[in-house]
Amino acid sequence: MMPGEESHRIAVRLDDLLREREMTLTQLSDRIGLTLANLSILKTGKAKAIRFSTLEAICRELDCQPGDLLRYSNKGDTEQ
Amino acid sequence: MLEATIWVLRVANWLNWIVAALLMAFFALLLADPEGFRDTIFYGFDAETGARAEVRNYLFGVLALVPPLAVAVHFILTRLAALVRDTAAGAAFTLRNAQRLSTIGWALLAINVADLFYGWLSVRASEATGEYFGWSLSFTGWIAAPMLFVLAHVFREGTAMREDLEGTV
Repeated sequence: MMPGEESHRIAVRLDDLLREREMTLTQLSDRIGLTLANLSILKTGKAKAIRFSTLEAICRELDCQPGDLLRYSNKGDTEQ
Repeated sequence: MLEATIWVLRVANWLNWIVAALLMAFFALLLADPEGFRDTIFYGFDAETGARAEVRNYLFGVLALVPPLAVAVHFILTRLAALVRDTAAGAAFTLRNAQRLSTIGWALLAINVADLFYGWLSVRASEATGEYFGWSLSFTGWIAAPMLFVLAHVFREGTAMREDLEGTV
């Protein structure tokens, strides 16, 4: 497996968290001050890295832990 | 400023091909030798001592170098103009630019090798005629070529870093 593919083993559960909190991506984008484009990249699992400041802001607004947002999967499946 | 640089590089490339064409026309005249043209050019060099033959070899050798050198200079100037254009557009660290730097490095290396051949011809002609044919060994190009290959590698690394940064949210 290529290094780039390995990075997809980290699944981002942003969609689930937003649904649970009945919040839209645009609303989250406004609250944390991150562009909608960047947030979409994160949501679709296309991001290569995430800053602590972004993680902190998302956890603050969604009232969750980093572990709730990110999941490690050994199947390489991002759509958990 | 960068626009002016691109313009200068394009004009320089046109001049490169114009000068190459003129020199090739001169070469063709030497080979065709119309109305004793060759005798006029080599006037003053003694045919008995072999000086004339050596000067002829020198001139033919130098003129034979013109087409490959014109191509090498074309590679350098066009790639440099494209490099400046992309940098002005804010896309400096790309794989294409790394490849361009590498191409410039190879072209410069070819010019350096041609310069050595030119030096060998000059030394031979100087020895045969007792006149200085104007060549001295220069290390500038030999230092610049490897530096360009290193710079190409830096650009490849820079491209990877930029792509990583673009994927960071």
